[in-house]
This record gives sequence, C-alpha cells and structure tokens, in this order.
Amino acid sequence: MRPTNVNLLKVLVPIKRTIDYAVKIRVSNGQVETNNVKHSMNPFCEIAVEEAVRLREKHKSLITSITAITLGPPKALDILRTALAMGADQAIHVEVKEGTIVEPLAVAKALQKVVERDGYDFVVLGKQAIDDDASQVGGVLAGLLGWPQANFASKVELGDDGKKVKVAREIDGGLETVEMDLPVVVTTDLRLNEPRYASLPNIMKAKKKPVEKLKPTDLDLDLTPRLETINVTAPPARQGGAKVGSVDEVVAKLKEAGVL
Amino acid sequence: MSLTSSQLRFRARQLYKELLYMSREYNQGLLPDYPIHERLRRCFGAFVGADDDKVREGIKKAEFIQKELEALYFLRKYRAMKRRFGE
Repeated sequence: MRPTNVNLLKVLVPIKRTIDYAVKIRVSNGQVETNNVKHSMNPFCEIAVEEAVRLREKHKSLITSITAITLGPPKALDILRTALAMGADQAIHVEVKEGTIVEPLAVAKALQKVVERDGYDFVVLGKQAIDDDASQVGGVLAGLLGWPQANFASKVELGDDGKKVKVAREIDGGLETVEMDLPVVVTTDLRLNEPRYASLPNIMKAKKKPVEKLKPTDLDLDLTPRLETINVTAPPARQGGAKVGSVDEVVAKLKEAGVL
Repeated sequence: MSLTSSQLRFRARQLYKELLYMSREYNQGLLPDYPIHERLRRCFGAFVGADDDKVREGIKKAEFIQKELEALYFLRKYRAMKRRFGE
C-alpha cells in the first residue's frame, strides 16, 4: 500500500462578474449604465482561474480540488460556468439580489467565512476588478485570515512538498520574490499567464459540475455599504488636435503655448 | 483521424457549432459589423455534399480558424488590459 500524501491542497478562486472589458461605458444620471450591457468575468479573475488550473496540471498529486466562488446576482452563474469550463471542479454562488451594492469588505468577509468553513489552503484571485479598481479584496482577506499574501504575482511556484510557495511580485522597479508558508493569498497580475479560451464543449461539460448556492444570511453576512457614491461622471470628451505643416509651425505653436 | 464519412460529417457539424459560439465575440461593437455569421454559413455551405477528402481538408481549415480566433481574442484582451493597467 502506498502511503497517501497528507499535504492535499484545496484551492479557492474568487471571481467577479463585471461589465465586459470591450464595452464602451456610458454614464447616465450619475451612474454607470449596466442594463442590457454585456457582462463577463473580470480579466484578472480569468488569470487567477488559469493559474489554479495550471498549478494543478503541474502538481497533480498535491491539489485535490479547485473551487470557484462569486458573490453576485443570479446572472453571475454564467461566469461560474466559465470558470468550471476552464478547469475548476466545483463552484459556490453566494446569491444577492440584482442591483445590490457589494463592497470589497463584504466580499472579503464572505470569503473568510467560506475559507474557515471548508478549510482551503490556497486562495488565488485577481488583483483588481476592472469596474471599481478597488484592489482591496486580496489584502483585506489576507488580513482577516491572518495569512501571508503576495500581490501582483507574475510567477507562482508551488513547492513539491506542498508546504511553501515562491511568488515573484511585480513592483515599481522590478520583481520581488517572496517565499511563504501555506496557507496563503495570492493576487494575480496581467503577466502571470495566458488564460485558456472556454470552448463550447467545455462549457457543456461544465453544466454537470456542482454549483452550491448560498444566501448572504447563510454566512451571517452584513452587506450594508460603508461608502456612499455621490456622483459618477464621464471623463471630458477628447478635443481634437491640429495638424501642422512644417517644423517651423510646430516651433511657433509651442512658443505660442508658452512651452518654449 | 475520423474514418467513416458520417463521423467526418459529425465532426464538421460539431466544428460549425463551436465556431458559431466563438463568432459571437468577434465584432465587439466594431462598426460596421463584420458579417461573420454569414461568412461562417457560406464557408460551411461550400462543403455540403462534398466527398470525404474535401471534408477532411475543410475540418483542418476550421480547426485552424478556431485556433486563430482564440489567439485573436486573447491578444485583444491582453493588449487592452496592458494599455489600461500597464506602466
């Protein structure tokens, strides 16, 4: 009988449903228009799912399961299916009503409850969401759990014994490599990997994978917002530049502007 | 490699459905809309009733286009993200 590997890791990948990156954002009545606008998984979250799947492909004996989790309206089930199609094994959907404001602090608290309930060892999530650019959930979650964290990861190396992880972080001026003992929180940066495309056959297979539905009350969650958005306005429209004919004209215009 | 003629046609129909699903993301609000749905139908329509060798060639071409589209979608997203969030 072969001795079983005791260090089996459970990976949690929190993801977020945001407005698709290619959509032209329209602002009306001091709010971003979200009705009938295409939504998809946050690009950084896709990188996180891909990283979890790649780690499992590299360390098959270490990682037992990859769970994707999201806090969102019923439609957020679509991005859970995409994560399952990319390679996650199961998903958790904490369902809130359409239009509820969910702040990063509430998300981090929900994730903390889920981590403590199910006992995950490795949480990998996107560094920021493209809609609010808060970049808070990773750090707040690590603080609530008391776990080490490595943000803006551009390379993640799991030790062969499943006890340590080495992460290269992107900082101003280069790369910082940190080594941490599991359990850890890692947030992904753009250059970490190239997320695979969730093809149609994989999406079909993903419909059979289990999705657990939870309500905020199941996690004793308080979703009241701590921040009040006073106004949202679109940036000022770009003003066209003028074409000049020769170098002398450029110099003349610069002198006019007071730059030369 | 698919052997029987009916298996080849099954694979061809599978590829049509997969490319149909992928082609939804092609335009992304670009105007004028590239008529990708029409083009897809026309490309596959040329192979209706064709013999096995032609169908095999068509399958190879469709799989190539699948890979090209995946690469296009990834690059588009990566370049947009790099422009917005890069140094």
